[in-house]
Amino acid sequence: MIEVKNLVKNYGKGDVVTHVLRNINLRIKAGEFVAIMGKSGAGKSTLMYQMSLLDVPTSGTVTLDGIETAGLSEADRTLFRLNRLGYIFQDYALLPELSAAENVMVPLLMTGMSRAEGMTKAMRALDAVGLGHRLDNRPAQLSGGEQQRVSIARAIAEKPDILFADEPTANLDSVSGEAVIKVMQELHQKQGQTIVMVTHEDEYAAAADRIIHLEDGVIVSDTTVNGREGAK
Amino acid sequence: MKDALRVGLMLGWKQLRHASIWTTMLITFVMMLTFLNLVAVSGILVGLIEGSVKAYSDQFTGDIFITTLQGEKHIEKSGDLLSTMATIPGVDAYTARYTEGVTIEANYRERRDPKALRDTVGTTIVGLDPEAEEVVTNLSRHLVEGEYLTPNDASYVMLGATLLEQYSPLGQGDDVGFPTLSDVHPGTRVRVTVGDATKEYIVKGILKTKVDEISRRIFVTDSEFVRLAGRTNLNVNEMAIRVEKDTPASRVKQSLIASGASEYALVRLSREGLPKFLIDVMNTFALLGNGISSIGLVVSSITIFIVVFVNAITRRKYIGILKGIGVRASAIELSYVFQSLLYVLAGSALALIIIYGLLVPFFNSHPIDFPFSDGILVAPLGSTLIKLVILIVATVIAGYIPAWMIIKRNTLDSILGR
Repeated sequence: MIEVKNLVKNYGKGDVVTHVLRNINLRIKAGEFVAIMGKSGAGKSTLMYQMSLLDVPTSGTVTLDGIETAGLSEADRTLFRLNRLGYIFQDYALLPELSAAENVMVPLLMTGMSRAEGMTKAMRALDAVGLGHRLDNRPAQLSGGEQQRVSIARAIAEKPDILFADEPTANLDSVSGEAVIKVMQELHQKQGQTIVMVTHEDEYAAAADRIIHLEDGVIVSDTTVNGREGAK
Repeated sequence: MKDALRVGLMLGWKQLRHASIWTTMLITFVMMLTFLNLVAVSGILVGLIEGSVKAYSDQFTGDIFITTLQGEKHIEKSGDLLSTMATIPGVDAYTARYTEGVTIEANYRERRDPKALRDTVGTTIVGLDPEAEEVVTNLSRHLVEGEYLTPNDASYVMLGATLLEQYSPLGQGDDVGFPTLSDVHPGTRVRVTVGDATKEYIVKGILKTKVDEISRRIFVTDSEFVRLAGRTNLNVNEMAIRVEKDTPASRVKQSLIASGASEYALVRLSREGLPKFLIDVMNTFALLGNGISSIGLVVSSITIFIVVFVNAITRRKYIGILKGIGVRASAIELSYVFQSLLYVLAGSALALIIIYGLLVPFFNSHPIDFPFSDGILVAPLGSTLIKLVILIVATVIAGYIPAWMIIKRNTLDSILGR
């Protein structure tokens, strides 16, 4: 499903180049729940950005579902993200002027869905994360945990092939954090959702099938949690 | 594209609804002023001359003005032409005028010394049918003193105010190079000399208008003119025709020409009789007005540019997120274009209400009192709509460019605020 080969990502130019990812090789199978861990600056978020087509690697390839992504134009990458990938950002990334339902609906409308159909799907997705009663509330009227669940609803509404989550619990208290992880776990277990989650918290990483540790841009360990095997 | 438009409209509308009401009002106000500036500045500059042209037509030439052919002293076969005129469809009313150069003298009764300078002015006397003239030009409206002539007034004359010292725009006395008559009022006796004939008249009324052809002439009845000038034929010098409201004057002019009028007279629409310099001044003013207005257009475009740029740059993170979740750049750009469009439409709608609901009717009933004309606001709907389209296009471009500049930045950099 995701194949990363000889991936290198550098920032800067000339003498001030920072080598963030150094020759990463990685395969993630469909249906896996993978946690990417590491200290701050280890390159875990950068790795996720390359795999999720939010950024372009310096060298190496990222192949998603057999599609070599290096040759895609910016417009094609946007379309790919719309149709096949879902995102959960650390700071929820909801549009403040839209209601919860409208936030979920925006990408659905972009796929050509009618407003009525989009609203039905948005309601279903919000219901799935336990926010069926908060459809008309704007982000400012929701707690951090609720906002993150809206963000999850937006990411899963169109049933993406891969769900990427960048430190989804970082801004949440432990109760809200656990609730978010629980939602992701259910998605994975009940629907076989492929999930790639960046986190630095061990207890949340334990929800995953597989944990990849990064250190200074290099994978230092790649282990299966408690013998779980989520890949199809 | 349809999806991008749908999402763009939704995002733009939501953003606008939750924007600060004061910001929205301020931008709408700027757009309103810009559109007012676009229409009103050139409209008043053109109206300054247009007021003069309108007055010329209303008070002197009518819609169609017939004068002598070059080199001729009168309009030959005037009687036939007037008879024909009465049968042409679309002619509402007409008046015929005799004209002749005269000298008018005042204060001759008080002059004791025969060698002293006589109080005289050279001018043109007009012989007219007071009733017909009234229907076509409403001449009595311009009386500032005294009364209007009646058809039987054989001993009375009306004077144009510019001939009188107290009304002269050039100041008191004759020392400014333009002679005037002193101490002449209704009831004053004046002496009019045409060739060898001289007759004394009583001033019945004084006419004051900014049309020189009225305020520099004197007026007697047509029958009195014929007597005074010793005309043996009844050929007149000018005819002014007023056409019916819904009839194009050009059609009546064509009918007149087709009936042979142009063999004996020069048949022109009111506007065709304008001096070339006046047309040139009008075009120059229009150009000048458009030049001044275009500065307003640039200012409003810059305003919209800054507003959208600041808006987009402060929302850069959200723009990045939208792109990140798969919203096409065109949808985000459209959301900003849509906002700009709403600003310009709201501002223009207000400006249109002010222009056609307030300014145009106001200036029509209260013209601006310029020294040489009564200025009105000229805002033909066609050219106003063209200006509206220009403003919309300029605003849309001004809204699109900053949005495009921000949106084209790297998606991840926008999300992370780098």
